[in-house]
Amino acid sequence: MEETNKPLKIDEIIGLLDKANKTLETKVSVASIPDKIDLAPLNAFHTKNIIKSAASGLFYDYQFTIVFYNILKEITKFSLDKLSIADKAVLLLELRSKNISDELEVEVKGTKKVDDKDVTDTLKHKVKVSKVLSKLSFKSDEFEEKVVETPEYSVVLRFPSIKEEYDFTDHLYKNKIANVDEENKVAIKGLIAPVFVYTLAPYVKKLKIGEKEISLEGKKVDERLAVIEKLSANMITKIMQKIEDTFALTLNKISEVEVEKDDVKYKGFLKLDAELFIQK
Amino acid sequence: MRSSHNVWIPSLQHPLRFKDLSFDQYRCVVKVLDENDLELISTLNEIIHENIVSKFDVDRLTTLDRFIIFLSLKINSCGSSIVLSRKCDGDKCEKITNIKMDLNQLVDNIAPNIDKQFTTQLSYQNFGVICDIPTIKTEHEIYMFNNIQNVEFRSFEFNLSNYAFSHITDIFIQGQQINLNKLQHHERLLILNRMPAGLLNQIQTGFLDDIHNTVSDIDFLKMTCQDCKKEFEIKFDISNINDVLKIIYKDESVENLLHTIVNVCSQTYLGGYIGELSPMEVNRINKLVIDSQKKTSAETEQQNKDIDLFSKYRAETEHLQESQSEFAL
Repeated sequence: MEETNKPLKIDEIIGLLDKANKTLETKVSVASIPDKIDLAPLNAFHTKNIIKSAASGLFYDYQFTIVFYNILKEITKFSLDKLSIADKAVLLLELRSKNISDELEVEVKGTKKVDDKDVTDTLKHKVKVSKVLSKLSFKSDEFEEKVVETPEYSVVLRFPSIKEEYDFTDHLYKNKIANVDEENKVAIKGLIAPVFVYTLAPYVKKLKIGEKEISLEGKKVDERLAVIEKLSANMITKIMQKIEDTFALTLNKISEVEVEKDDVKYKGFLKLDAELFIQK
Repeated sequence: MRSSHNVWIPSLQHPLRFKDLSFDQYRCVVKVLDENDLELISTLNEIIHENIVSKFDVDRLTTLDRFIIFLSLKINSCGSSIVLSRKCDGDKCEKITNIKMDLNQLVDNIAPNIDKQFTTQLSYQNFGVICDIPTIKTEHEIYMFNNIQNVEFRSFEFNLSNYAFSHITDIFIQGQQINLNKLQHHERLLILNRMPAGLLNQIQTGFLDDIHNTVSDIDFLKMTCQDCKKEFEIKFDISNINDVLKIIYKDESVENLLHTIVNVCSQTYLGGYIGELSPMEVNRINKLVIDSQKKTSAETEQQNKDIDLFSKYRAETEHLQESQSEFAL
């Protein structure tokens, strides 16, 4: 490489760095929209924050959601209001493939016959993330609204946006989790109910009571939670079922890995969290 | 004037000359062994500055060079044989086990793996880096910076923010080379934090993992408890060389040396100059003092035997009868 003797000032060096980083930008496809979006590379500071989130204890998943949202804000100009958590799953895999390594080890499980008995077998399998991404295909109806009805009222569900997921996670962390002692099992158990509500709430976009339709998008987190808490047990059960039967299947499709070995079918899921950026 | 000796410097692949460690300096090192890392490295660096005889900018020395220098200073100033003690931490066992170690043997064990230049050039897309063992100057700046920021040394935060970065000496951006050692630490951080993650990954797999693997098989210390037979071992690692130095300098000879100093000061007029002598020289003087004391004691005993006429007279006249005095009435 060439060496120049001209001493650069720090601003000039940073300008040069930013210019060089721009050449590493890529266009990636996501799940819910046909357009490709521009993605800048992850930098060392992003990686450090991801690793820090992984080391933050029992609630590292929530910390990672918050950290990753802030990273996405820096590396893409696309509005995170318009990208869903399914798109986020695809972006996580793209960033892993392009910034860390295309190869990833995943644990897969299958059932094989041993002495005429079904035995669960576990394998460690190396996948090429780019191959997983290339096999993904989505139907437009996966991202359409789903309606859940009870005799009293109905709700409209849709995938939470990346921004919504961040807003709810940030609110949960600050209001419920931040002061919880991880050693206190009673306190941890006490989080189950609120976490459940916080998980369901981002999916609920509209509430229809008779002719009246109330849009929950754009409302504050507190207000949306208050609505969810007032829903009947029957409605909550139906919402959970609908999420499992539709949105969860789309998310599983993104992270699912299938492999066949010795006539045995093995299946596993890629962990779409901080581990994606730490694992070799 | 203290003796001096040559020390082979791995990063330079040629020797530099250093004065032996004085007793005062040795005492300073022992004093900071239990202090924080910043105190320790500041003291070690200061001694290097004071003791170097060759004309050389010591700030260019690496942390590994400093380890070799202090290993050599210990051997040449105090002797190569050390005795290490350890209290067993086995179940209900607190037996103290002593182990004798020859530091020359340690040098023979580690030399084949570390006697080389570790400088490595890596590239990623239109970026490049030169990696090496950190210089003592870079290391000191990192500790000073984190001390001001109140980041606990050896904490996860400290290691995460500094370990990989401390090994990068130059960065190439689209053909332009930037020497990071010429920048202030906070400027280095501004640049390195913007480095692509892929490049950081290359540094981990292409440099850091390699240097750890280079020495991963070397045992520095292996002890077995005489009572419960529990084994204890310390592996040599590039990242723990300061800890290895602490063990080497905190051996049993420290206490013996203090007794020696007291004896020499009380028996000679060297009290004001003791600090300037190396521990080995102090031990030699102490031996001379002890030998001299033994000789003096033997001579005195002989002398006392020679002038004891009365015992000789008593022996010669014991058998004679006592005659009556002429003045007896």
